[in-house]
Amino acid sequence: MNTRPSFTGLAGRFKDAVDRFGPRPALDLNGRKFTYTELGGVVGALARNLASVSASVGPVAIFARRGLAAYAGILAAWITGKTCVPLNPKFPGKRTRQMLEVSGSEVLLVDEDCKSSLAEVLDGLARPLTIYGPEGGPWSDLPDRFPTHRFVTFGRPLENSAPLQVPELDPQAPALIVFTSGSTGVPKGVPTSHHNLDEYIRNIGSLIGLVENDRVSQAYDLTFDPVIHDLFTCWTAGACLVLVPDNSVMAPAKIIREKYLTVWFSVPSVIGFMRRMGLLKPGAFPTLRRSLFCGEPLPAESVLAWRKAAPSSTVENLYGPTETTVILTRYKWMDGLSASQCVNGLTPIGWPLPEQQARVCDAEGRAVPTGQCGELYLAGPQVVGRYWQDEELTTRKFVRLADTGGELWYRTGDLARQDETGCLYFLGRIDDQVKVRGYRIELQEVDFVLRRIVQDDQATTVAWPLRDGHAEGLVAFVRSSVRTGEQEILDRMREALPEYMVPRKIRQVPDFPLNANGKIDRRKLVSMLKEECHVHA
Amino acid sequence: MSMPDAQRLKAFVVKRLSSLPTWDAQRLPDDGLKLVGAGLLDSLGFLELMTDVEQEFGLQCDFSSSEPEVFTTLGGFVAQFSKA
Repeated sequence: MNTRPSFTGLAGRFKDAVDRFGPRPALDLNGRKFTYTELGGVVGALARNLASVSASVGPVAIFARRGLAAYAGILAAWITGKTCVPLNPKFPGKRTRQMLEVSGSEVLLVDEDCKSSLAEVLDGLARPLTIYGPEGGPWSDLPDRFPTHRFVTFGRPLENSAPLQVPELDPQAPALIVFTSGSTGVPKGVPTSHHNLDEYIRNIGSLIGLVENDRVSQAYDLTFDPVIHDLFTCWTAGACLVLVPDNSVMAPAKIIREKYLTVWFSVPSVIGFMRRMGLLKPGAFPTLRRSLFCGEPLPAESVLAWRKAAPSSTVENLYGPTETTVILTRYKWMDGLSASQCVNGLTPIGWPLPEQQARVCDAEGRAVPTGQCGELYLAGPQVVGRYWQDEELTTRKFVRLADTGGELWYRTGDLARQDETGCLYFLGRIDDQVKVRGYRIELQEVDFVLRRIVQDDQATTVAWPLRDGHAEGLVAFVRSSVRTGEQEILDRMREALPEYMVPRKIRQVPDFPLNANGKIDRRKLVSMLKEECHVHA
Repeated sequence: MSMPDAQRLKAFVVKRLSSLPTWDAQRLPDDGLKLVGAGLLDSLGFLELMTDVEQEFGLQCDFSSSEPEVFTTLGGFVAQFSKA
């Protein structure tokens, strides 16, 4: 008798889809198409190879562009009982090295496109790795240059096929470690378990209701956890995932039209970009039927512009920190009603997904009365419960509230209020975390790097410019006495931080305005930039 | 507003790009130069460049009929504005 393992997580859900939707299209990579059977075969072959490369269950880091190797690599890691650590080839080598060190990665899976930037990552990496990638090309001299590491090459594993077998998985084992900006100068890891991911996909899948004929965008970077939403809401429904190339992510008009996309999911900034480029013509996207946005506040104006361009599409505002697995609350836009529900011109973040909880608390963790502003706390099976190897931060951010039966709650640091229906409204942050085009940034981390470069503790960064409720970039401030030039500061910041964390300008000030606590007053710096804008407008 | 001269427009764009810290002075600014995705401009930088060109030449650009892989190159960007 065939007995099915009791828990197989998203890997098991993927195998079910392969068995059920075999000949249907699963993936469209710039016109190269894969059926479910073909994709399942690629995953099976990669998992078999990965198992032979390393018997250990240490994490597998994936250094690949969005595409076949990355998607199959995530699944292959899970099937072989390993944790997946997605890396971003657009990040500086130094940051990628930090992620490899902190995560304790043992295997590095590299795709063809990223081989040429591998040396920059390995240069200075103390941790010995098994590096698994395609043979030939810029890879060939690396074994001599980096003898600490073991290099294993393969021919064309992504063109091979092997039966897909999914073993039983430990639901509590970390499936994914996603790194976000950390205030101490080192990115912090958020370990999401198989159980967390499975709960999320089960929850959201039933709510957004994708079907076999859907053609679903894949626009999020691998280091953004919504990529898991892209892949598995699509494949569990038997739909086709369509890769949105890097140069189209912020202006996807052509790919939506030409690939007949029916589902779009991205950061809301995309709408603002497309508006400014004249890409949101009325009726421009007749095929879209579901449009989802998350990662930053969604302005009502943007929704209205998108609704005109995609008149057959619903619009949903999704909200959730990485610590609560992709998305935890959801708001579906309703014409004629939602515009009046917006606060500060921003769409509500809505209600928690099934089995998840939200509450707005005061500084002591007590629920505030309905309608009052407080910090948003989240609980439920999607809450990850810890940071990767950081007990101090874990204790601070994941707390048990006595009056909720000792349940574990995540303190988001987001300010919110809740109305009498339970609908949540995002009002801002209680700390110095900002979002730039959906990327989460702890300004303290940028300041840490900046201060080290200018060798002055009086240097800081603010989010600027602000448009439609979004921060579009950062501006750094240093004292006029700093000798390091702007160009050198920016160059050195670029060596340490991803592009979205590097300030666009360095401003000099004779001295910093201080707040009542004697700290640099960022609000006054932002006011200064605003005033300058008015003067020059 | 009449169509701007492509050479004048290109000179303006190159001057603007050459002021960026990410500009490689060794590289010739040929038409195939990738503005986005190769480290020169990020998506916001692209919009800032677009706004600067619109203000300098009094244009309102519409990218709806062109392809991202074309209008994100130097030649494609200039051509787009030349026909705006």
